[in-house]
Amino acid sequence: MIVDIFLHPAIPVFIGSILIFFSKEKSNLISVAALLVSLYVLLFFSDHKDLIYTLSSSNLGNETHLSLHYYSYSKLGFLFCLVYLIIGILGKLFSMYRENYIEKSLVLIYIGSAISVIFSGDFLTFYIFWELMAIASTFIIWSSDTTESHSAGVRYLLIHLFGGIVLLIGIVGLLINTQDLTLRLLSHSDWYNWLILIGLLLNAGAPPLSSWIPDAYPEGSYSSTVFLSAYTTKTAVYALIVIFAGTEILIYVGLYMIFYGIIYALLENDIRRILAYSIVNQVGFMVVGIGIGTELSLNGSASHAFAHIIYKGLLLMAAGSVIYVTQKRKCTDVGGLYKMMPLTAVCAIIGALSISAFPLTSGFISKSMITDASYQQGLEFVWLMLLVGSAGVFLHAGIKFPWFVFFHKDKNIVAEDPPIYMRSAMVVSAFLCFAIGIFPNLLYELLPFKAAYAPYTYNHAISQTHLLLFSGLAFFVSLKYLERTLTITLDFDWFYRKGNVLIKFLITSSFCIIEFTKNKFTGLITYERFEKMENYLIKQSNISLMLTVVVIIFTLILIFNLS
Amino acid sequence: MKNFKFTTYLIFFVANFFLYIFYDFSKLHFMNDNSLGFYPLLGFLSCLALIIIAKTLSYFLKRKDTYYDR
Repeated sequence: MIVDIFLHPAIPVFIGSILIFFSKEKSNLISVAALLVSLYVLLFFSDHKDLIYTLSSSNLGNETHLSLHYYSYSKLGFLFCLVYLIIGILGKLFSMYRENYIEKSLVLIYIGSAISVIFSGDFLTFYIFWELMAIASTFIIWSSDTTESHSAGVRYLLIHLFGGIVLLIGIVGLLINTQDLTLRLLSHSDWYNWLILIGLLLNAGAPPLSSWIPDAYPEGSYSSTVFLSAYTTKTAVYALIVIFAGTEILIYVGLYMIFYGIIYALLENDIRRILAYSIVNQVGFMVVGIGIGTELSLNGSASHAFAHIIYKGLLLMAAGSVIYVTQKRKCTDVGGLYKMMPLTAVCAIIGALSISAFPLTSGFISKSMITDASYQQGLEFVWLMLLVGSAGVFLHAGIKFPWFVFFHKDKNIVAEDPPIYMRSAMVVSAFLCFAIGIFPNLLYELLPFKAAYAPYTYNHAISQTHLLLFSGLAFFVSLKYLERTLTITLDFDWFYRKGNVLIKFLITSSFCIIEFTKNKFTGLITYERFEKMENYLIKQSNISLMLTVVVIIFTLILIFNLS
Repeated sequence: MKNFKFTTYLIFFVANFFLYIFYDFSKLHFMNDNSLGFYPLLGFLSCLALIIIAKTLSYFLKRKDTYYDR
């Protein structure tokens, strides 16, 4: 039994995170070794029997049992764990020169908790590691140690705690109503199912709170963004596949995410924020696949998550290399870097081709499964929107990112390709993008469902090439309208970043009413009293405001639903 | 320079047109997608539409990058 516990792929990773504190100088070696041991456990011991613990309690003679599925093997879990470990190892290789051992340990905790989530077999274990993942990733953002990262980390934590509370209430509701916490497909539209869905979607970057991804991820260090991009959103995708496959509303949520990502990325100037918006966009494709809910579409979502983690890692490594070498992070500050950083430019282009789903790359063999599934289900509008979305991906991530960073106007920046470990991580990722694209069966054999699919037909390859090349033409035709400016684009985060403006407006307007009635009640209400209250409220930080609102809302929900 | 641009566009269109040699026009998904130029037009026009939408939204949503620092 004791041995079984150590056969969980997350255990070596957690042990590694502790060992780093005992040998700070060898943090890189420990990190890579921990992930390699975890990979070994996954490949050779992962399909051992499930680990189940039963908690018993006796209340007035009625004995109740609660089974905790600490480790529950599934083919889907294996697929996600494999890609988590691959990008973990590549990311660790890329971050060899980052001298922050605490960040390295936190990254291992983050990876370990993500693996634990995907191998958990009940909602309680799932929730515990889900929250651990949120906390570890917040500390990873903070370990960047800049003013921006501190405030972005706070906002990130608040959003995830909010999502966590929603999820927890849903899980409690599920337990009370069904007495069963096994992780399973939830199909009835009970209130607690909706809360669980909202909690999961929030981590996937669904509307209206999608802005936490471009707000927080780019504030991590040049290397930690690679890890941040891979785990939280994809774990949410995994959970949605397991718990909410075939929920129709997800199709429309996913479509919104696809176009939200494209439009905001087109307006963005920060290199990594462009890629962060494209995470929302790509997760949108996966969410649509989950919403369609057929075996082909679910395979498509799973394989797209696998491919996405690798090519997004590659793109963020290329962006991280530019930031590491030039210390610049905005499109307006860089340009013409292909002469100075040729290898980085080539790797970025390969990543860009993959995310755009060009034939022979990994994106092509995964995304097209979702598009074809919508066709097979007769969803004409969804099929058309997925095609338009595919063209839009090439527009914002396929061309815009490499064009403005590596080509366009030469800013005569003195730079060179990053050091050897960073280069090798990018080259291996680029190789994987092509390997999966050229030999799709390598990935298809790992997929959870048996659904035969042949991505390489003449018609499919030609139509996709036409679609993408002509969207590229649209980019160059309208290039002068896409010139970068030193601007940001307002998003939903305005409400919790500049919310005090709203409060001020409300207080001022209420003050006017009070001013009007003051004459009638002079003596009861004084101006000074309200001025004091106004100043007090405005001085309160947005955080306490949001927390108060959250607490009030959930107290009301609890009162009305659980009583 | 103008000649270079013209030649590039010409090569682009001719190369794309020649891809149709391998295309099977008898296979149909939805909306006459087996017709000549369906995917090129869809790619081009949808991207133009996305750019127009983004530009229009930018008039309302764009702020200086120091907006949140104030």
